[in-house]
This record gives sequence, C-alpha cells and structure tokens, in this order.
Amino acid sequence: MNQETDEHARVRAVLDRQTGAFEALVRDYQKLCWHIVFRMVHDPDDARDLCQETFLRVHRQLRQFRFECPLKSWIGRIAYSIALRHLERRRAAPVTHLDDEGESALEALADESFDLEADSGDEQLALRLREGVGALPAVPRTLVTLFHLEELSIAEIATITGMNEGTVKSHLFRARLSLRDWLRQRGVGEP
Amino acid sequence: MKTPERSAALARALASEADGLPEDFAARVAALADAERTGWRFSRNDAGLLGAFAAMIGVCVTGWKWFGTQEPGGAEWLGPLVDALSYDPWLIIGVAGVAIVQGLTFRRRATP
Repeated sequence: MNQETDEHARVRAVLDRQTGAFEALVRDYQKLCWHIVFRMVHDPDDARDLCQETFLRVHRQLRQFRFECPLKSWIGRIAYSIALRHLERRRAAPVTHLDDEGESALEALADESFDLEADSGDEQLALRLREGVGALPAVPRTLVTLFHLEELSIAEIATITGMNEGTVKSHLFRARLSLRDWLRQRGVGEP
Repeated sequence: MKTPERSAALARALASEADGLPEDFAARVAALADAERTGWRFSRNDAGLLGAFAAMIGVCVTGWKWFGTQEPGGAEWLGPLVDALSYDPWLIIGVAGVAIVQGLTFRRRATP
C-alpha cells in the first residue's frame, strides 16, 4: 500500500470512528508534535498541554483535511501554529524574519572548515551540541530539529512553518554557524 | 541557495533526548477527543449556522415585506406573525448573518 492510499485509509478510519484509529494516529505523530512544540516553547509542561491541544484540533478538523500535503506536514503545521500563537500570547519573540542579504556569504561561512561529524564524535560533545541547539532562538531551534532529526525536506519544513524555502535554508545555515561558535567558545571543535 | 547538509551527529545528539510526553499520552488524548465529540458545545461553527439561519429568515421577511405585501391581500394569511417579524432590523440581522458565515469560511481556509 503506498503512502497516499495509506493516509486516506487512516484518515477514513478516524472519521468512521473505528476503535483505536485516532489513538494510533496520535501515537505515530506525537514525537513530531513534541519536537516542534517543545523546541518552540522550551517548557515541558507547556509543551505537553500544547501537544494535547494540537491533537484535539487535529481531531476536530480532520474532516477538512484535503490531502493537499502529507498528513505529517498538516499535523506539523497545526502544532507549529499553536506553539507560535502560544509564544505570541506570552510575548516571546520567536525570530521568524531574516533579511536576504549576504546569503551566499552565509553559505560559504557555514561550509568553511567546520564539520560537525568530525568535531562532535563522543557523548560529551553530543551533550554540548544539545545545549547549543537549546540556546538557539525558538524558530531556528525548531527548524534544526525538523531538518536534522526528523529528516524532513526543506519543502516539508516550509509547508509546516509557512516560510519560503530560502528562509528555511537561511535559518539552517545561520543555526549551523551559531552552533559552530557555541562549540568553539567552549573549546570544542578547535583544531 | 543550496540545501544545507544533514548532520548525523546533530541528529544523534537530538535523538538521545527523551520525549517528554507520558506513556499513555495517545490513549488520554483519544479519550478526550471522544468525550469532546459526544459532548455538545456552542462553537463558532454553531454560531455561524445560527447566523445563516437568521440571515435566511431576515432576507425572506424583508423580501416579503417589500414585494409580497404589494399584492392585494398578499400578507393577510400570515396575519400577525408578519407584523411581528417585518421590522427593518431583520435586514441588519440578515446581512450580519451572511458576513459571519463568510468570515468563518475564510478563516477555515486561511488557517490549518
């Protein structure tokens, strides 16, 4: 069964109120939801409440899902917008805008002699990396997680966040630069 | 701008963080969703439907007042009911109802 047919089947199952269908859907996407919401709000209690709100909204609005994008992206988008609204209510600036200046310079800088694979081989460095990601602003932090951990494509991340693909890439390059600086300031990754 | 490369080290570092959701999260949310579906509550959609109904009544009554009553004896069979309902505020209620429905439709398309 291909992915499209599979998604139609599981959405149909939930809408037909088949026992356990919605629970299975939640189980399959709860990790994605957590990664988005927790990276955005950075507070485990708030993240749990917002994840619950996300899936309740998914349940209410599933009938309106038109299969114009993968279900994963649609759920991700709901999670992202709920987290963003939460941050706006708390007046926490999530840093969503980037200027377009110097993108090629940024790209070159990010490529320049910095290899995360080589520089962060052991568990101690992995811990530093996690701290580094945690120190990024909300939106880049979320994008890094979606790209490197969830392995979503740039197009999928753009669908979830409503940004254009160039902005997503800029955020990722800048985040990589910030991580490089973070590690180097702590004596990690120096030759 | 080219696509950034994925980092397996970063993925490993992030993957080693525990998921903060409780074990029974899916079951709990499913139960809440089920309870929400069975319990009725007055949502914006309900308000929209009510608005649409008011719009329909408003347009009908206003139309009847303007055109139907011009025929001799046209309004007699409705009697006192028409007298009670055919006020100008119904036109406002009708327009407001249509605006509410349009607003809700736009909102539904604009947000996931």
